[in-house]
Amino acid sequence: MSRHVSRRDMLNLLGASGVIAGLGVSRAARADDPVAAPRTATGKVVSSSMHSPASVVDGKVVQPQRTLRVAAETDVLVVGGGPAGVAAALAARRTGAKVLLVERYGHLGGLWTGGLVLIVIGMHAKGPDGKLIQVTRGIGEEMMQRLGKVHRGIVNHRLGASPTVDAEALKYVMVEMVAEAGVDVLLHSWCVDAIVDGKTAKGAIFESKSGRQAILAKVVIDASGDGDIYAAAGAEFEHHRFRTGLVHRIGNLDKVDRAKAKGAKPPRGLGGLTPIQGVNWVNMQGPEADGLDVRDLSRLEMNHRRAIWRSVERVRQSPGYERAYLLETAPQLGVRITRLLTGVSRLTYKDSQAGTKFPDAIGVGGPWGRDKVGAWQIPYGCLVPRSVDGVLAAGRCISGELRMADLLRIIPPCFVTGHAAGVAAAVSAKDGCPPRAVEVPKVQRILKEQGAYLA
Amino acid sequence: MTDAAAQPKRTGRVLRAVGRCCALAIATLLVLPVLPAPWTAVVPAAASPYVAVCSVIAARALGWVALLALPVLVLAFLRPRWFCRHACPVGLLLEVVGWLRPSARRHTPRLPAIGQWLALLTLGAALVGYPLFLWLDPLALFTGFVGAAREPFGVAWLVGAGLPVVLLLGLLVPNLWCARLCPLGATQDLLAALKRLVWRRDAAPSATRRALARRSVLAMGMGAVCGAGLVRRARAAAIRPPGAVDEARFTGLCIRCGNCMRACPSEILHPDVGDHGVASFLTPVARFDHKHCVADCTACTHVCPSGAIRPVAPEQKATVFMGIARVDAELCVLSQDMDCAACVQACPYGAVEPKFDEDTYVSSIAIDASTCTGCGACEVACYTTPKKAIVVTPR
Ligand SMILES: Cc1cc2nc3c(=O)[nH]c(=O)nc-3n(C[C@H](O)[C@H](O)[C@H](O)COP(=O)(O)OP(=O)(O)OC[C@H]3O[C@@H](n4cnc5c(N)ncnc54)[C@H](O)[C@@H]3O)c2cc1C
Ligand code: SF4
Repeated sequence: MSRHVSRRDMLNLLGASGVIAGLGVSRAARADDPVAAPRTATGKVVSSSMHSPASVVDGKVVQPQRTLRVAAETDVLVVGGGPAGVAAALAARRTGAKVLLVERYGHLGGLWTGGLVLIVIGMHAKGPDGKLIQVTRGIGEEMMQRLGKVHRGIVNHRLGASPTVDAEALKYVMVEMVAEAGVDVLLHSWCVDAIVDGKTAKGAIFESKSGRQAILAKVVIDASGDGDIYAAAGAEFEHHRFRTGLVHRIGNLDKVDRAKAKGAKPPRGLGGLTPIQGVNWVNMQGPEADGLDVRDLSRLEMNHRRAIWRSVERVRQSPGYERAYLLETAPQLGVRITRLLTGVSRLTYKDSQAGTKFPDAIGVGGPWGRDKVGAWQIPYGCLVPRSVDGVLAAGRCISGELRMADLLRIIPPCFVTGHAAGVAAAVSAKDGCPPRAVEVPKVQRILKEQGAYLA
Repeated sequence: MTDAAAQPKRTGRVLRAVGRCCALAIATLLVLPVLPAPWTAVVPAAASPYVAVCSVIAARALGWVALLALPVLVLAFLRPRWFCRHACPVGLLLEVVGWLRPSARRHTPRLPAIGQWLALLTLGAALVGYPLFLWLDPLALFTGFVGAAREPFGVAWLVGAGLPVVLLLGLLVPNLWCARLCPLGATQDLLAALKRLVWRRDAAPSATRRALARRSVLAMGMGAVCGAGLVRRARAAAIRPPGAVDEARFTGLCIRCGNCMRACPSEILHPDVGDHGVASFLTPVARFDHKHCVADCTACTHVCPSGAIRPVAPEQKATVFMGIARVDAELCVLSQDMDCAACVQACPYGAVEPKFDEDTYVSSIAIDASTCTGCGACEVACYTTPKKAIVVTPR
């Protein structure tokens, strides 16, 4: 284990000291394997003596008590690698904490990449002087800046517009950014439980091909989108059914022959443009469903796939659209809202409309509207569970009334709350105080230093 | 005339002048929002028995506002035209205007009593629910004018234009308005005539009585016919303030005083400038450009002197319908599968819901007609431009 830690630490050092630039990004950003599973020599016959499987006792399936391997100890554990989680991990690392990011899939970006939700809305608002300004900034904006430097990474990235990203480019950029910052990353790792001491979270348990293991952390950031970890730690939450869809992309739309359409309206289901010419992404609302019920998720995946195939076939049957084809369906089902934290504060729609000012504001959300007035502040209290300590929420599962959560779940507020949770967690770890007691002005100061916009 | 006799007469004249000035000042203060209670703006126009009698009959409802006219009504019985001589702010203003042209002929123009015809036509029309010329009440014109001074720019000042027209008339033909045109003055004359008929039947020659009776029957009959025609023709075409009576009678009952438009804190009420037919001219219509009719506000419903807008209690607000929201699926971005639900979030009554058809995979916005009040919150919130995908339409 010590060997890995030292290698990782060196990588961190390189990243932090800026030597990285001289080495060239691709080499320096190569990820090390952070979980020190004991290596087995190839070809050796093994029996897993450590393992104690479940058994049936009196007709009930029982899992025996067992001791778990501690895969890592860290200052800040970030569960979930979506826009909120990646922003949180980067922010915590830049604030000086040792950070481990755990993601259940093989890529970063969450719904922004794996969900193929490519358009970023609500980043701008009119300031007091009537001038349009960008209100959601910080690490999320940095990601988009970097996408701008990548071939076909982003379009419409300008003041007043809604940028649309390329999922592959964003996955790549996110990997580069976390590696550069020296964030430890565990992919293919699904957090399944919290480790608690009384009313305080101390880490999380995850499952992977390496088995069930533990991570100990001073602060856990739940950026799973679904509040998996704060729920496991015993925090209160609201459970909602919400519209659940599946996004897809269509190709060859640059080969459409509009002359054949003879002036007919374009068919339904063409979606909106992406950075790749001829490729559109097509959103789906979907029916209300419980995103925490695997039966619902399975049924919808299957139904949505059939519906998407039919929809693309319909497009192809429209004169001129014969060459269009289904490029891909999103690897990740479009779950919008499941758990909403019962936080120290709860943001309401009324607050957002009235422009309520909060002394503990850690970020700003923007209106989507044409006249772009009415940015709204997000208080730190929305990230802090009312009933447990040691955890912060970030992203689409933070505390807000349902109609507000429908605004908070949009990508920009997600990276804004992720950024704030990262800084607050790092401050909490460093100052040795629980997240609810961090010095908010200090968090606000660091956020501003890191490019965030608070008012 | 001896000095001793002239003295009390002069004192009387001075007292009367002081009283009239006071009445003008009080009426102005009541309409301008200087007093903490905004409902005071209702008082001047509601004090007119012409407005009160016709609107109570037309609206078939008697509220406390109508009772404000009782003093003037009683006084009109006791002393002919007492109100005109002692309290009417418009009368005083006309007199002052008259001084500007001392050369003009002082005596009453030789014209029929048009005011009486107006009052009787309106009364007859009120019987069928459409008081034709209620808006010509001088106190309504006064309220419209003084109130408009608060926001002299924009179309709102149109509502205040009636009084200047009357004053201009006073400059050209002194005495014409008060003696021959004013329906409130005429109402007092008619009340005095009625008293003579009832109490002192012998005092008036029978020919005069017969003429009066004939005129009354004729005018009221004509009024009723016209009113009924207008009620039948009226379409539900405009979004009215909450608590407004049905569209068919609204344009008749509304005296165009502008009180409701000025009372609205969201500034959504605007005078109609011909978008909904001649009958609707200058009546209040709601527009949801920037703000909506907020759920806990009932301000405009408490300042209507004529009962065109009935008082609404705050707890009733959710059941008072101004219209209903309708969605144009061609414009709605949610219906084009995008993530928008601005109208859903904005609706204070939970009446706007996103719907998804699991057979066709088509999304749409559904409006619950039993809870949608037409408050316009969705219309304000909708993001589509330049036309809103969701708009409030008459029910
Ligand atoms: C169909 C659809 C359309 C949308 N349209 C738009 C739009 O047009 N514009 C816009 O701005 N927003 C849109 N959104 C919203 C936005 O995409 C998401 O709400 C946002 O990406 C949420 O970010 P997040 O980081 O909070 O969560 P997510 O993006 O959900 O990320 C959570 C991450 O955590 C991982 N994870 C979850 N549980 C665990 C676990 N137990 N252990 C380990 N990892 C875990 C997930 O794999 C995922 O990577 C849309 C959403 C959907 C579903
Ligand atoms: S706000 Fe407008 S565009 Fe958005 S869902 Fe409602 S009607 Fe459609």
